[in-house]
Parts: sequence; structure tokens; C-alpha cells
Amino acid sequence: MTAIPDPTTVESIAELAGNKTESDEASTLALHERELASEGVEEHGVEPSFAPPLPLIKRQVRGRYRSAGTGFQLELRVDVGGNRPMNRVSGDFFQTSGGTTSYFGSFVVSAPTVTTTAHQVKVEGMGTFTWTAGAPFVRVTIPRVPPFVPAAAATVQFVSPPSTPGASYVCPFSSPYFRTVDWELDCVQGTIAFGSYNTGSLPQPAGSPARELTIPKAYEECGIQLKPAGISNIVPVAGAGGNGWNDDELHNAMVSHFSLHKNAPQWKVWTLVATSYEGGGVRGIMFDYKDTFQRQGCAVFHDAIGGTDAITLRAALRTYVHELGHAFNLLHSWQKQLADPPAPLGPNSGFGDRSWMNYPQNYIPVGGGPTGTGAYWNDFAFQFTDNELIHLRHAFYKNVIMGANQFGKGASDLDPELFDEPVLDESGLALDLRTRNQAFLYGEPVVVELKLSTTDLRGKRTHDRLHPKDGYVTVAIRQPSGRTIAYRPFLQRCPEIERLVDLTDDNRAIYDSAYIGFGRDGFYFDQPGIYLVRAQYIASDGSRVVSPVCRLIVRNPVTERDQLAGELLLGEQQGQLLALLGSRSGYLGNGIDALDELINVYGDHPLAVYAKLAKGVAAGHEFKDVKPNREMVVRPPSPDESIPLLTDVVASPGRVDNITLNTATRKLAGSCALTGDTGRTADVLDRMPQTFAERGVTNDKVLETIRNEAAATKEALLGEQQ
Amino acid sequence: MTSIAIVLRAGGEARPVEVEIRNTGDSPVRFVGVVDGSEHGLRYPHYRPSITCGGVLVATPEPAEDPLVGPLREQDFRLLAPGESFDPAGEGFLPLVTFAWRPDGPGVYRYALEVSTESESPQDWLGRFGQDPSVIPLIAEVPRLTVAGDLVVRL
Repeated sequence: MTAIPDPTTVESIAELAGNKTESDEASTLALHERELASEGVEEHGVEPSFAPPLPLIKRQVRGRYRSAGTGFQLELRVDVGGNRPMNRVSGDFFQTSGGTTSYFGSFVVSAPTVTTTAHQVKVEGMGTFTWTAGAPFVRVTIPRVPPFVPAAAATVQFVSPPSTPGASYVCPFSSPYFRTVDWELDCVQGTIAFGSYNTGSLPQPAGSPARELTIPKAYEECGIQLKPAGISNIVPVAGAGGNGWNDDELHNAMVSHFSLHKNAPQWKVWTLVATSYEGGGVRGIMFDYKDTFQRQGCAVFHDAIGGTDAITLRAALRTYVHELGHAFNLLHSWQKQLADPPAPLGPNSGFGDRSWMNYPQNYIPVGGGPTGTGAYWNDFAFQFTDNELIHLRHAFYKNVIMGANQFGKGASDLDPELFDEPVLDESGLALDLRTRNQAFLYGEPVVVELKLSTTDLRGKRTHDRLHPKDGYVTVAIRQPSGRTIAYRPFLQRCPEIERLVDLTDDNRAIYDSAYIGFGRDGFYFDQPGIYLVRAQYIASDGSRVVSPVCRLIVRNPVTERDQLAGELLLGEQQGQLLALLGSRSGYLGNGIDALDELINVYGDHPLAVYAKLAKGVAAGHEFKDVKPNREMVVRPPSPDESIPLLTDVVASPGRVDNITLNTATRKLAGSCALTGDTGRTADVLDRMPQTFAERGVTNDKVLETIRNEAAATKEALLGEQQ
Repeated sequence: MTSIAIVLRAGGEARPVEVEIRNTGDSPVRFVGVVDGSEHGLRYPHYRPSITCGGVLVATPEPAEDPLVGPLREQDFRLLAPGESFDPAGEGFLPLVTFAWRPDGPGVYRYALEVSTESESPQDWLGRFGQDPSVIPLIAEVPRLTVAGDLVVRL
């Protein structure tokens, strides 16, 4: 196994040529103590402490810093001093290689000691990292300079306790903001975007200064730069259905009109000023909460929030900031405990939060008194809570950047970069994903064939778990809407034993097929259109092997008969039956009835073969049925039902993929053997290699494998009767 | 027979009105308390409170800002034996924010609550994010009904 690099240690960064970081042996904790002694100051706790008033005004050190060079780059955020300091330092590491830079990991020091002298600010403490850091103690030192002098660079020293210096980085000042986000604001025809609101226009809490707030200005007060960017598009109102916009239409509008849109984590966010939400009664929504690259867009609804009087402008400002807050992965005030991992709720189950993320009408103030909208505005100082500020400024990169972790979740099921081309691949393995047919009929089960081969002439040893339900292969599906989602198997296996296979010149590849049409999220290919599918295999040595993109089309039904046949396969229970490759559970009775209807009414339709396959396989083996009274009834195999169905499947010319056909053929032989018809059993298996040759399988090694499988099955079924 | 009753009682300073859902039938019943979006009618179960004074509506849930309701979780379901009750706005559930309303002056106020589980589809119960679909079978076990209760108090 290759050791995982660690940007906090000297050893790791030394391996990366051209690194600009410093390893300073003298920079130990002992030295630090000497420095403090020479400065004549004492260390303090979490609260920043300042030496006696200094005669000379110095530039603030808070803001963002970034190191340069190849190897690891560190983006550092120093949050001491200035407006609402959260007394933290945090950072993100990026790994550069050639022309590419990729995110590596993040850290935060949540309870640092801050020491300020006339000449420098030092912030240090134990960090929390997204990986197991070898040198987890973080010390940031920033010289203090006069305001007219350019900001000084921050030096970050990582230390392995008690005092062994790790890597250090020199990070020049890059911005007074902790994050910078490109913000594109588009409007649907006929709507008007919010401009600004003067917080002094209406009563507000004492201590909240009157100021003109725009949306970027509201975020600027949090230390977040919302930079208007992209082209401001006018979106045609035709994008919505007759009853206002729904989430899918909004997502489609984003993919079409957000000039900066990309299915990747990026500091870019889109707001659409739309007309109204489907069904009405909604002021705004962060609609991008379903696919892999979430939180890239939100909408506000002009019909609900438009207007020019002060009360309306104030509420509109809140709605814009609130919905953008969701894009930064902030939940509603009363939902914090629903986050993954859960976060603490504010007072009164969160309803007492004086925050952009609370609802005015839900507001229940601390200490009693009037509740609701009026009370909220009396108490609300146009701010986020401290915990929300900490999230905005210091959350780990993937928890906050748009397009990374799912809304409300600290961890994503799918690496959002899955569709990126691999930067470098020395795994010695190649993964291929393909479908038997490039075009699928409406409702047709989508089965992919996975092939893992070696590109290393010396051969390669790895595990053979190619089916997604084993957890080592992830399949990403880009749907016609532009959404990319992860296929989540209906049933997940947890293989305990690693089955290794040697891929050599004699055995260059292994194969498997997987039905990916239905999973834990329902149907993935139920809309006609063009889909892109790609798989990722994690090898035994940890290599990430990515397949080329496979493009497939789901056709529109041509006739009413096509549509009806397709719909008989698109029910929830039918999806489960196909994922299970058949079942005789009474719980799935409606699905079984639908498959029966497909066979009986549309028996000559090309889709009927899938119903025959599911029913034929299920009938070929016994089924243990647990009744509501917990009594278990074993239903014996029904070969008389199975044989004609599977015979039709094996004889059908085309649609079923080769690996599934292989399974079906051997299941047919098994059913024949159950009836005692040894001649037919042998005949089915003897014909198996020829069947595949007639379907265009020409690879001698593959045909030999099929012959061996047929012979082994024959031996198992007939044994001495042969 | 499945039967559910809803009882409203005068509470204390922190919660002026307390609510009880009671299984008045003769078999166990699964039920869900107030969850994110229930009070706004964004998702089932609906808990729709109102307060009137002299027949004039003085407090009712305002429309939600947005429909991003959180997930329905297994722990949101209560299994009530016959005769058993629970507080749907108590520990583990959200409070009924409308009932936190404070009157401007003395008067006779009627607190009313209508609870409905009569959704068209289990989807109408699910959250918009972080939703584990394994709760769907539990939704099917909740009886479909609408019940209402009220309480008149002189404040």
C-alpha cells in the first residue's frame, strides 16, 4: 500500500519536488517559549488578548492567506480581531501536480491561544483535521504592520507534540475575506431583482447600526465575499409549468442559464428571481438538494416577495440571504440537530435564534414575551448566529463549498469528482462499462456489463468484486436533466472475504453485470433522453480506476402499446423484483401481477423477456415465505412454470445482456434437472457456447470460460447421470 | 377498531396549551408527532393550530419561507397501546409555534388543533433532505384520519 501523504509532516512534503514550504528545525515549541519570553508577554486562553494599548495603529491580521508552489498549497483563514471574531484559524490543503490542483483536506483550530504583541500576532492550538495528521498542533505567526504597508505573510508551523516541528508554510495575504464566492443573479422575464434595504428604515434592535444592505453586503458582514459574476440572464417564463416553478424546472433552468454552472465543487452559486413556486405560498427555495452536486442554486419568488415598501424590502432581503445560506449548507434554525453530524440547537429548540436562517413567524424569544414576526424583527440585527458564522468561515471545505457534500450532510455518498478525468493512473488496471444496447426502450431495465482488465504486462492481483452491491464499484449516472446521481443498490452486500484474482496474460479480464435501473432512490432511467454512465472501481491497493463514459439513450415510446408495456415495468415493486431477479413474496404481489400482465397481454413485446426472466428465475428455486403470524412456509421450486419462461428468455434474440443470459441458461438447466429430464438438461448446457457464439461473442478466452461454466454446471446437476 | 382522540389542556407559562394524542381504540396504533413542516402543512402529519377570539382569527401558521423540511425518522413514530397517549409537541418533537402566541389583552380565546394523516401518498410524509426511505413501511401503519380538538381559556 502507498502511504497516504500528510501535508503537516516534513517527510511527506519533502517527497514533493519543488515545494515552497519550509522545515525549520529551530521552530520548536521550545523556541516558541523563548520568543514569548523575549517579547515579554504572557499567553492567554481562547479569548484574544491584547497587550496594553499600543500607540501605533496596526493593520488587522484577519483574512485569507495562501501559500504557493507545487506539492501542497495551504489556504489559511485567520479569524481574530475585526467584526465578530470567532477566534479560530482554519485551512484547506490542495495538492498540485503538473497542471492540476486537487483538494486534499481541511483543518480547524477551534480553541486557540491568541497572543498579540506590538510586533506580531500568534495563534496556536491543537487542530482538528479531516485526516489523521502527523503534526496536529498548529501555530500561525503573523507580523503586525502599519495600515499603509502591505499585509504581511502568515507562517504556519505544524508541530508533532510535544515539540517536534513538522511542515511549515509561508502564506502571503490574499484577501480580507474568509471565502470568495462568485454569485450570478438571473431573473425570469417580468421579475425584478432586489436592490438594497436600509436597516434604519424600520425599528431594529439597539446596537444594530442603520446601514444600506445589499445581498453581497449582508455576506460581507460575515467575512464572505459574494462577488457578482457571470452574465445576468433573462430566463424565459416558459421554463416553468402552468402552476409555477417546481424543483426540477428550477434545476433545468440552472443548468441552462447559470453561466458558471459545472458539475463540480466550486465557489459559485446561482440565484434565480422566479415568478412563483408550484402551489404558491413559498418565498424561496434552495432547490438543488437531490443530485450529487448539490447546493449550487436557489430561487426566490417575485410574486411572494416583490414590492418596494420598507417592510417588503426587509423581508425580501432576508429571503435572499436565507436561501443563499442553504447553498452554504446552513439548515433552518430548528433543523440543526438533523444535520449529519447533528449540531446543537439554539434556544427554544432553535426557534429563539436571531438569525437569517430562522423564520420570523416561528420566532420564540428567549425569556418569554411576544413571539412571531413582530418580535423577530424587533430582535433581529441582520446577522447569522455565531455557530452559523463559524460554519461559513471555517467549515471543512466539502461541507460548505457549493457542489460538494449533500445538503445537510457532512459526508457525501459519492465523490463529486467521479466524473472528472483521472489526473494520473498507474494502477495497471482498466475498467470498462458498457451496455448490450446503446438504445433502451421506455421502461426497459438498464443492465451494464463491467469488465476489469490489466494493462500491466507483468500482471496484476486485485479483488474480483465488480458488482456495485459489494460496495467497491460506484456507478454515477448523469440524467437528461444534467443531474448526476449515484446509483445506490437496492440491496447492499457486505463481503467479508477479499477474493483475489490474478489478471495475467492468460486471464486478462474479469466480468460482471449489474442491473442499475432501480435502487434505493427508485428508478434511475425512467425518463426518455440521453444518459451518461461511468463507474469507479477501488482496487485492493486503493487505486481508483475509472471507466470511460458510456452514453445510452432511453427512447420515447413509439406506440401506446410501447408505453403500456414500459409502464408495467416501472412500478416500485417491479423495480424490486428486477433488482432481486425475481421473488415470490406475497409482499410484492402487485409487482408480480404487473409482470404477469406484461407476459399475458404483451407477450410478444420485446420488454416481456424481462418479466419472463424475473418470473422464470424465481419459479426455479424454493422460496421461504414468512407469513404475518411469523409462520414460515417453504414453497418448493416450480420447474413447470420456470422452464417455458426461461426457454423463451434463452431463445429471445437480443435484448438481455450476455452475463444475465448465461445465468438464465444455467437456471433453465437447473429447472430441467428438477424434472428429471437429464437429456434436456444436458442439451441446454451443451448448446450454451453456441448460443453465445451466435450472439457475436468471438473472444476465444470468453468462449472457453463459457464452455467451462457449462461443463461445471452440468457436472453439478447431473453428476454421475451423465 | 382504530380510534384516536385529541385533547387540549391549559398549560403553564412556557407552554400555554398542552396537547395529548390518545389511542381510544382497542388495538395498538402508530402515530407521529409534530415534525418539521407539520404546522405549515408542508408535509404529513398535518398539525394545523389556530387561535380565535370572539370568532376572530388571531393566530394561525403563516406560510413557510421555503419547503426544505427535514427527514422523517424512525424515532418520530410512537406506538400507542390501547388507552395510551403522548404529547405530539413534547420531547423529541417540535413545539406548536402558533400556540406560543401571547394575547395583547384579556379575553376569551379558543385554541383549536386539527390533525390529519390523510395523505395521498407516503411521499407526502418525507423530508426533502437526509431522508432514509426505510420509514415508508412505518408510514403505512399510521391510520389515515382527521381529528380535531379545542380548548377555550379566559386570559
